[in-house]
Amino acid sequence: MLPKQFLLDECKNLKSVLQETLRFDYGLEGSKDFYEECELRLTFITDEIEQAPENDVLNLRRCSAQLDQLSKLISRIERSSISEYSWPFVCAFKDITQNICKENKAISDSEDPKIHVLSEGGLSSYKIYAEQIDRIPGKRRILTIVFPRTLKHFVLLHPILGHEIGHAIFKMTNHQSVLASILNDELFSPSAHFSTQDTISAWVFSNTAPEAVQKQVAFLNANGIVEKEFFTKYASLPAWLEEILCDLLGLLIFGPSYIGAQCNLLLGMEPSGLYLSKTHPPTALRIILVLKAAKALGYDSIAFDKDVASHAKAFWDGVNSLIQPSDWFNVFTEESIKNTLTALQTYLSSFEKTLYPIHDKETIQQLSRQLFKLIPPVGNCYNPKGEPDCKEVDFRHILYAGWIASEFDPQNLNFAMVNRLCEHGIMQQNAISLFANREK
Amino acid sequence: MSALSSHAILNRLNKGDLVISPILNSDQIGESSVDLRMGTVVMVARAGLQSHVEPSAYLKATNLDHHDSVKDRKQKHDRFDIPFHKPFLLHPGSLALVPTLEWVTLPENLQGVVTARSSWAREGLNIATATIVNPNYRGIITLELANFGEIPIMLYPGLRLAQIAFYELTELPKGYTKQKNKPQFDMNFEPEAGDIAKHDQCFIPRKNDDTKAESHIEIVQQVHQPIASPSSNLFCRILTKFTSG
Repeated sequence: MLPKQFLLDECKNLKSVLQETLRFDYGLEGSKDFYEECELRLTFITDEIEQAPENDVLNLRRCSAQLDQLSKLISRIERSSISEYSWPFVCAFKDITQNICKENKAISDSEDPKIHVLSEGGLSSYKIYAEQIDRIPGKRRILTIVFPRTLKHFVLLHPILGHEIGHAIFKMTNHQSVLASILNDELFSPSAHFSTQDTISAWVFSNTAPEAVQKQVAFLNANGIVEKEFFTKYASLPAWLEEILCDLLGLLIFGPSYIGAQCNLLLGMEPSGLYLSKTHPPTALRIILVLKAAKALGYDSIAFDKDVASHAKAFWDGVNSLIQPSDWFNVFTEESIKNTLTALQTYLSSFEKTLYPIHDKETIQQLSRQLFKLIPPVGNCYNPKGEPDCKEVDFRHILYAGWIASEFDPQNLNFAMVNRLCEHGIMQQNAISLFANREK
Repeated sequence: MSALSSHAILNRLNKGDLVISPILNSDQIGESSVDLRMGTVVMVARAGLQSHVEPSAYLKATNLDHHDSVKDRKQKHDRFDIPFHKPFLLHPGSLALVPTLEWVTLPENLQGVVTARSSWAREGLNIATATIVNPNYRGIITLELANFGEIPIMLYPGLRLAQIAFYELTELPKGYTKQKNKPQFDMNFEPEAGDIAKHDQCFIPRKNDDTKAESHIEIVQQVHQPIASPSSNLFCRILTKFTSG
């Protein structure tokens, strides 16, 4: 069989898989849109193959790769099972990602990005597979959000997806150049150590680095990688810089709960925080940066009443004590961090619901006190007449209250229980919002 | 024991010793009861796997870590997540366990009684059992829904299906403590199967296959014993004897 005929047969196979799976309605929001989008892509690829001459190997190779991608996408959507992830969290998360992930190319709302969700094994499986609209033979982008299966109910750790949504945004042509220039102008250029590839390499190889870093550098040297070759033969500079951007975006999208999630997950996977990865800057640098950024944003400065204040303080003290203070990792000045955050905030503020709505004292206190009493945290209030008067609460405030409550009484209110209560609260809050907006 | 009026219920809710959260608006509070909404999980009894519910099965393998095929003791349920605006079809004659949307916390001197709302009961929807919610209970309330009508009933999370009335307990026993009197299913987030044989073992005859099930568990445990156990040493000795001729 010639390659072209083989690929046309694979198109038929894919068509029948599509008929067997996505044609039937299932999933959180049904599968009709996914079915139509995949069918459109398959028709496009099939036409391309049919029109390609047998000897047009470049075109056939491209079509083969597109078929492969489409096949993987269909099986991912098929495997998506609502019972394997926290759907209340996903519903709330979709609200904040929908606008920022919209493509300029989209003509109408019916072409908004589609999001589907699945779970995988392993703590490192938090991911968002984001397609680039100009590289797909279709009309709408499909984002795949992946959660770790073991952390189904652990909504306090899910804010790490703020970092992943950062990657998804950065892949989009309409955001990439703006975000890159903000980071370059406001954060990297003013930094003595991060202004150029050479200064970063010199920082990594400096003899003032912590002993653990120096040992890794010695290992690199022994393997023939010298200072000047650090970013050409070992690490990826664009990847390092993108990670720093995504950390700041995650913080701006999720607020204080992002810090709890990032510190616990990153150090859970790499406890020293000092490892020089090929794709990520050292964890210690990233944690110090987000903690300084949180301070600049005033997240830790709200004076709560006594019963909540001590637990809020325990949360902030806890995350601040996870990393040994080291000046070596403190590579960005407070002023440059502040300027970067202001520029990013200005940019993100044009996308509805994306930015973390700064919390007020009363809301966080009410939610925290509910958790202290083992009640799911929601805007369940009573008006001055004593009648029920529920209010809408942003789910990111529930998550911050959750982190505060995790310091309340770990024996009777353990981390898993706080997470279940918060997840339940987010589900109930969904009902409150539906009811509040019933006549709008 | 007297029932709480709407005024008394509101007073308790405002004071915080009785919690029903969330109450979406005042219409949910009746003269002497509060309406309860359907939550977002449904557990349906699976037909066909068991010929009948057998109390003696509950006496087998008490270790919850054993594989289900070894335990073989509970009526099996299929669990479904039903987000808002998604339907659940309750067929005639079938039973579904559904949590309430509301989280309920009762103080030590109040008891709750749950019944179906009459408008739903007239459509054939019955809330079968679990009418009493004990003092000190915290969590969702499980509604055991049964369709007594002749046609399926479409249900959506958020619908007001049930109502709860409250009764004040007149006298608390001496030496009463919250810890000692923890209700069954405390802190439930979704329906859970109970233990129908609890404290009634003496009335349930043991069957032959109970011992079979127990011996199966022993075999499973033996297989998982470490290599240095006496039985494996014996096996090694026999093997050595064979191979050494």
